[in-house]
Amino acid sequence: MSITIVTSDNEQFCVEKLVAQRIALIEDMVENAGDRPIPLPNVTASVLRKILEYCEHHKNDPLPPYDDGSRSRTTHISEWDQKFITVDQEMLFEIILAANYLEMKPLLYVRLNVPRVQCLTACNAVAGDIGCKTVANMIKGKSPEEIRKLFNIVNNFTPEEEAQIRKEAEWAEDR
Amino acid sequence: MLEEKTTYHRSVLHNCREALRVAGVLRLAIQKSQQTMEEIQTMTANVPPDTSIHVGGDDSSRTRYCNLLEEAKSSHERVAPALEKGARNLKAMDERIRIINDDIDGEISILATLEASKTMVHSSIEQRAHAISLKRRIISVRLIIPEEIWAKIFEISVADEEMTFIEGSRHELPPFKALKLSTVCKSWRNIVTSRSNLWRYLAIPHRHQLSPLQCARLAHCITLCRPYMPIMYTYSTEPGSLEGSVTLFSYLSQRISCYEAIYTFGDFFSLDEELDFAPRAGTLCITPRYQTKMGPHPDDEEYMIFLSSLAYIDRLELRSTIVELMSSFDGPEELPNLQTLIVSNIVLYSEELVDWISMMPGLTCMKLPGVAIGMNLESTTEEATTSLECLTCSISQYTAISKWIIAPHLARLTLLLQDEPDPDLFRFDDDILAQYTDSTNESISYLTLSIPLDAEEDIDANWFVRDPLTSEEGEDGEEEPHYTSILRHFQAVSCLQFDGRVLLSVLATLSTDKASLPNLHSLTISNSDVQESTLSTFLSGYHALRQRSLSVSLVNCTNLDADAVKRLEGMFSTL
Repeated sequence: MSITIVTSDNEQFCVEKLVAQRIALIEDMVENAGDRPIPLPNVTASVLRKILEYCEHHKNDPLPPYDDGSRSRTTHISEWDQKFITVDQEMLFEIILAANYLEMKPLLYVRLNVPRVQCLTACNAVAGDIGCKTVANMIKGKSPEEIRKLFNIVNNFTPEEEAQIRKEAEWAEDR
Repeated sequence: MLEEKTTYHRSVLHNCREALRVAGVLRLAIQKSQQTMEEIQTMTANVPPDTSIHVGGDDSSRTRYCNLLEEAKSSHERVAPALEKGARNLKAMDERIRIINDDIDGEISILATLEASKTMVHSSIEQRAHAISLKRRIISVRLIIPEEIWAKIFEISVADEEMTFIEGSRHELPPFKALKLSTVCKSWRNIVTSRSNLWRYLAIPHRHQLSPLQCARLAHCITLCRPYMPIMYTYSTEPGSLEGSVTLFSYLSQRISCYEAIYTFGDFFSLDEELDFAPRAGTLCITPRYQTKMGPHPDDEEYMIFLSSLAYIDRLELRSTIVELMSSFDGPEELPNLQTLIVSNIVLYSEELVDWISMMPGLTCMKLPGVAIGMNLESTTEEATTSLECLTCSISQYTAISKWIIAPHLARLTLLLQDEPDPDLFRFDDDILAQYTDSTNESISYLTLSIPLDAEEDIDANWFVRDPLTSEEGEDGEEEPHYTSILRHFQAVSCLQFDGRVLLSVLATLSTDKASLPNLHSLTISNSDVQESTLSTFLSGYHALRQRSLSVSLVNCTNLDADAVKRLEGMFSTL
């Protein structure tokens, strides 16, 4: 069974229901939409294509690493996910925004309602997590000036704030 | 291009002006020559041909002057054509000068136009650059990414860099990640300074004194991290200047009442000259100054820590660090608040362990990964601990510990099957097991067998259980012990968990031997690559033998997809 998703630039995607259900927002909408196409006004076709690529790859591994709270603390990314997220900066942030909008955060330990076999799993894909970890990796070891250049951020501190920041920089240099 | 054009015209103008200067000089020379000739002509023209010259009645002089006059007349006749030619040259030169002047006017006009164009182009470039910068700022990721996502990114970034440093050697300058992120721009500063959890990591130099700058940094972090409890860690550093410094322990005592965790080196408490620093901390983790993978570094000595310093610690973790716990004069002799003790990668003598247990009346959980139990077994007296509920150790440690530690309330036992630091202690004699562990085993309801997925392949056959059907006779003809009988010693276990690799021989035993784990009703498999076929075979066999089903929980079993789980469910419905 498949469902149709319409992106903000009016492109239609016919997606296997099993794959689409990995996206919490769509999973919720499927129940109400019936056979009608599901509109995603905040996601473009190019971004949805990437998101679906992720869902398709992870559809058969319903049990990503058990999250005991330490997972989000590390910036480790698996090999396939690393390749998947190797995109330009614009696309990277588009994926993060889309994953946030589509509620693709890991839903931890969804218990299948069966009497004898409990599958404790994280059923939803964690594309947003990978995006955040990728950005965290980009920041790693960089000075504030290098970070500004990386993300086109303007140093908009007032002279008074600059003076305070210089003082804080001295703290960080004092062993 | 515009610049090149302007430069070219400037050079043309320069050349024209040079030509004009040369032409001016030439004209001046021609004009002077013309004037001379005109003067000569004027002079000679005023003298009539028959003029008599009267020079004092002297005939010779007169003749001389007459000759001169004749000569002048002749010169006049000669000069006339040259004068005419000079006038023509002068006219031509004037014409050239006029043309050059026209050229100069033209070039000046072109140059002015070019200069104006250049100014316009420059101004246009500036306007466009400004527009681009504005557009860049508009699309800047800082502005399009919501605050909560940045906050999440910062959380990952801070935790990762700080914890990587904490878990490392801590011999360099700490990352001070939150501090650095807060200096990127106003927006980031607002996000970072409003998230208390980003400021929890307090980096403390491992020495007795704090400099004024360090105090200012710590005050900043302590203020911002409220209401969170800080995670404090020490790092190795050279002794600094004592000017304006304050005592570390008095500073900490005055400003922090509780810590989530403290990560420090073995000699941290000995830096406290007053010996009154007794922090309230969820976790105190003591690591050696110089870490090795397998155990204490030879340069690290045994550290003495007074019980009074640990009086308010909930969880004590000693990583590869040999510590002697001492009772100070009129100080406490117990650690009533300590609930969890984790000791790793050292040799621990049984007597010492028993002493520690006796000092920890509230100890509920003890983990001993990589600990080799020392051999002074005979002299060790028994110690009862009524609080201990969870124990994590290897099988040999469990057998050894059970000889001197009585834990009637031990409910959860985790056996680390790869973790046998001393293979000589590895004995599975039914009698020893029965003598020392059966009374303890009576209370164990949850048994976990933990084997990392990357453990050696033969661990299943050689290290824990051996299928009775495949066991062989030894060289002396005696049958080797059937390790599967170990499972018979855990009569009260109702929940069995495999963490990591699933031991096939254990599954085989459970589905063939009714006396092994007779009260089992729940199986949990976690972090495993167990196959669907293995599980279905086991579940069928188990049901056939015991006429009851087992409740199965699967956690992080990457080989089993949703379809496999459905098929297993289907199998249950038919049993």
